[in-house]
Amino acid sequence: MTARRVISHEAAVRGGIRYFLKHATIDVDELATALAVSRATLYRVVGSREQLLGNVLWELANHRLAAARRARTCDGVDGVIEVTRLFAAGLASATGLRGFLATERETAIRVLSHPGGVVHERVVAAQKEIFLEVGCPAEPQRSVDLDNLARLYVRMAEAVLYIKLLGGTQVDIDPVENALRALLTSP
Amino acid sequence: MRVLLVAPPGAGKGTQGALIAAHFDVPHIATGDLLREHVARRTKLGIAVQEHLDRGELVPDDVVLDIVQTAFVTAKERGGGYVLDGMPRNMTQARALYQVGRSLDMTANVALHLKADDDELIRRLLARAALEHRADDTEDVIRRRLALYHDVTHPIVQWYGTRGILVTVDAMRPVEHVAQQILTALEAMRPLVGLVPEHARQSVDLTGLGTAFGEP
Repeated sequence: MTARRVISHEAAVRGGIRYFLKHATIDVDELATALAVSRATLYRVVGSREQLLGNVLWELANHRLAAARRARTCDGVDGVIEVTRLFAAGLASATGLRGFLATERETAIRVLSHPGGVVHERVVAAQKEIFLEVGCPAEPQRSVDLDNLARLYVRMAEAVLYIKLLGGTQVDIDPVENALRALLTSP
Repeated sequence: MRVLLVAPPGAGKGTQGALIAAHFDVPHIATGDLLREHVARRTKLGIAVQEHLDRGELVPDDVVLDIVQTAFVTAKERGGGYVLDGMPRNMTQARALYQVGRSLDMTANVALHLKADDDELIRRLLARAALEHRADDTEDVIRRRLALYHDVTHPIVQWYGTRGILVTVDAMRPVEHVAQQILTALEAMRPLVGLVPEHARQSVDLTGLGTAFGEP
């Protein structure tokens, strides 16, 4: 009888990231073998393939987002837009994500943008942190509900980023920049 | 008898591998199971695997090959037969595995290719997903896995064909029929495999056998 090996959620996601960066997808059977666990154990730890993909994509997105946040040079509305612009520019080299969107479009959209999904909720939370970091909205609008604002901002930015990624064109936020600015400065 | 299995997901590789191993009384070398056992028993190879995993890496091919090589050595001590399952998954692995086999005089006598239509495999994998409550093992995901399998495995099957060790069976039929076909073919080949050199052999395709005997 095969001995059972345990694995942490963190280790499974880390393995998932390695696998995804190499193959632009995740085959749970192959990943399980490469992590020296059974398929059943891997499922028990990660929940489902889509949950694993969500965690993997969030970690990869957060890595890029953190770099964009560190590279920010402005505060206020300009700072928020700058972070989003830098993040979008970084997606040009996200070959794994592009490959995944090209080959598993429906799954990718579900995993990336489903309300309540791992990726969307964490991106919204990160966006709220960015608002606080850069001091936006400024004093007169401070009473605004930041959760709602972050959710709206992410939805608008996502709409254009995913369309451009799916279309294989250069990824930028030009088409919605004015709308994003208006959202952040509206009374 | 030294057999390695090449089969898409859902073709019954695990089941048929175990049956062949039991019939010929040879070890069933399933790379996934072996990896887990080495790690759990903390063998030297298991510790090497664990070190890779602790660094957040996936188990590299050369470590899996080391594990297979160790299993081959044990199999050689037990009489020299084996059924290998789980490797090779690509052409690089196939060539590396061949070198390991050659170094031990343990190359496969038969590359057993279990062939099945994608539609049947999808039906089986969807049934397994439902049984295991894997709602996200959808038809699209399975189709993609099969497409990747075909891309990567086609050159392997062709290579074993040119080496004259390929035996292809129809895995669409019920498990006991497939097993019967495999065991009959392997039994017929058993006295010959040690006598006829690889370059003088020819591949065997048994996928039309059922039709020839009037089966649908």
